[in-house]
Amino acid sequence: MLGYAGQILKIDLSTGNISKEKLEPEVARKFVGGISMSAKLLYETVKPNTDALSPENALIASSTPFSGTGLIGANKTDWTIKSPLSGLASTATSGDFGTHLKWAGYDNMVITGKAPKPVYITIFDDEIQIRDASDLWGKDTYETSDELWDRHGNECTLFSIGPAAEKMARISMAYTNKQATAGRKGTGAVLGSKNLKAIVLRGTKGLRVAHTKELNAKIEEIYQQFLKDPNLKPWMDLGTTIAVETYGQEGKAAWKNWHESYPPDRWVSRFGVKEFMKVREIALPCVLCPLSCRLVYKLKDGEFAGLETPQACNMGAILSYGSKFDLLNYNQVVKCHDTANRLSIDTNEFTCLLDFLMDLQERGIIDEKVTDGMKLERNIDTVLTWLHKVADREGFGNVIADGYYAIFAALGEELVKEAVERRGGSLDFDPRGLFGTEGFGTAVGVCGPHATFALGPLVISGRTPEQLRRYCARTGLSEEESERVFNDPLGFNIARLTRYVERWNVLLDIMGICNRPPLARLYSLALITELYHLVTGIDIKPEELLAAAERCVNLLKLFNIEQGATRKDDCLPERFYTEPFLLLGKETWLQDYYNTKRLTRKDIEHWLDEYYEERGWDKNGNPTSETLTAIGLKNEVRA
Amino acid sequence: MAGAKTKVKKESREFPILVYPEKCAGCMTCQVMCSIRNLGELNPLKSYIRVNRDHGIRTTSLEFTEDCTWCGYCARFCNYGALVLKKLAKTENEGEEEK
Repeated sequence: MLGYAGQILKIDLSTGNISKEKLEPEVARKFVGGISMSAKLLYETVKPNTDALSPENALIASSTPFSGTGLIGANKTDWTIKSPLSGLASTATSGDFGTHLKWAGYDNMVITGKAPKPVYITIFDDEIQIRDASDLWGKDTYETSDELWDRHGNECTLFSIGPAAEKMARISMAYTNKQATAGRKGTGAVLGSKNLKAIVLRGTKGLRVAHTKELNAKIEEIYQQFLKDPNLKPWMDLGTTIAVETYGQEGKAAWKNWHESYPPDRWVSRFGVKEFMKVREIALPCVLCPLSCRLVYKLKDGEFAGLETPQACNMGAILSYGSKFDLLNYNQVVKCHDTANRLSIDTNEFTCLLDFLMDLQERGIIDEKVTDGMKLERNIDTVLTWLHKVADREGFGNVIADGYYAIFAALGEELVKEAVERRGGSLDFDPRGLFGTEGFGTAVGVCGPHATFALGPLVISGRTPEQLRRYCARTGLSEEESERVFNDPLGFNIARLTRYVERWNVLLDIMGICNRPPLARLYSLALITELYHLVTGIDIKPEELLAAAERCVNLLKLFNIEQGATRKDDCLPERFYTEPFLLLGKETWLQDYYNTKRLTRKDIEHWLDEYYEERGWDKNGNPTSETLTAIGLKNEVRA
Repeated sequence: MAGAKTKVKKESREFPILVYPEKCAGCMTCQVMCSIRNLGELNPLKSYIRVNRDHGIRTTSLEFTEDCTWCGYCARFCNYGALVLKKLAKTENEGEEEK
């Protein structure tokens, strides 16, 4: 089967059994690859009511049809689990493990079971071994990676965890090559629960595609188009920092437990572009990425001078550490980031939880006895202390390690109303100042609250309906779909639009295409369809690819429903309705994209009805029988 | 070419690429494109150019194997300035000397 490796690798760590199953051509065509294949494998492997930290949970990695083909920016791996944080499906599209997995001869990998003692796995093409990791257990992520590179060669790709994940902290992550985070919602803890310290991968089998010359010509064409992007230089220099000053000035950096936006002047002077460039050392791209939003920090002078550490998203680091804890400079942010990565702690979850507890303490709702007799002050010492307490599960760190639900259980369920969380997870950013599809996606996303499925053009203010129409044309909306999206007094219907933004982003994830604008913009539905044919030789219609994206979302939704999710889970944090926040010093309520009106619970519930209707789900959010039949899932779902 | 190990063929023509390993970010695009051009398959670890990395962070050297055909195809896809086609470098910056 050209374009695919043609095999699914399955490893049961309880029995040590390693099997290689054929990827059936009809399955490949139906689910295409990436996140969609992961959804299928998750649904069939992990049964309802499975404990996420039990041997029965699965760690799934999926490559895509475009992985390793030379198509620029099409390099992402999908990592899927049942989340120990939310109890629902969790996917992360990150890092180039999948590309190397495919070069080793596998499209997908499914790891189940639990090893009797710490192990790591080596995958060198056909040769797969489960090896003793006793000497690695306890080492941090970077030490583990360096040791494994020394042992097996620098050309290997690594996936590893540090101490917090070993101790099954539900807010822990796993990392590809030290920096690409497979996270949000406890991927690291799932590895820890399996006694799996790391995976070492080297692929030399390569890959053959159906139409090599034609594909090469297309790659050249896409690459030349990429080079014409007027924002290329700033993107290459700054990565996600490209938007940092706008973010601060628009008040998107929240602190004090989402009660206020961080002062923009302080934000720019401490974390703006000028300060960033002082600590940016070199680019650190994913495989086959000519853009490199990733980087290596190096602190040349000042506090922690000499520290050098890789970073996947600078914006994420300053939104997390910089503003929430009022850190004084980049050096302090970099030190916190480095510490969290080494310990394998999810930066976003940890910082939101600590900020939440600080706010409770500042407002006298909890006292210092709760936090081991310590006053939670907004400074670097507090952050570093609690990172280590979480990793060691020491004192109240043992509670923070397991997220909001554990805190509510320990301190009282009434604290739910004080928190800004959904499904036990933290939001990435504050959608109240600019409520686009990613804001609505925070409520409805099947793997939320991480809203990447719904990340679209409305992440920038002032987009016109005409601009949205161009986006919709590129991403494959039919005339009827467009009519429903744009038949709205606001100019567009955000609920209905969210469905199609999600469909597009899921299709990008199916193909492993990065959603950074200079890369994602290169690909239209028509081009993806053409490229899929050149890679695989399979003649496929654009609608079939969109249907694969729908299968993925519906399967993840069905998985969540089986695990107990209901309409009540598709909501925004309660506080968004009950109290205003201080946006740039001004009292502000949740409001629509054009700031024409305050949004109430009734508005959001009405949109939820429309979103469900657009998706072909009933009023409770359950995919209808007709919908499942239409997308070819009727016979695959459990009764 | 500090850090670059280039096999100089005993041919009259000049090696077509300027090599700056210190600028290499390690994206492997050169390896992939070499393999597809010269091997007819996507197999970077068998390509005629090797990007040697140190612990996932820095490139230590860029190495061309004995089999390198000097086609220069790899350099056409380097966006980090580590591989530059001499003819393009000359066109863009007349008089610049090879490092």
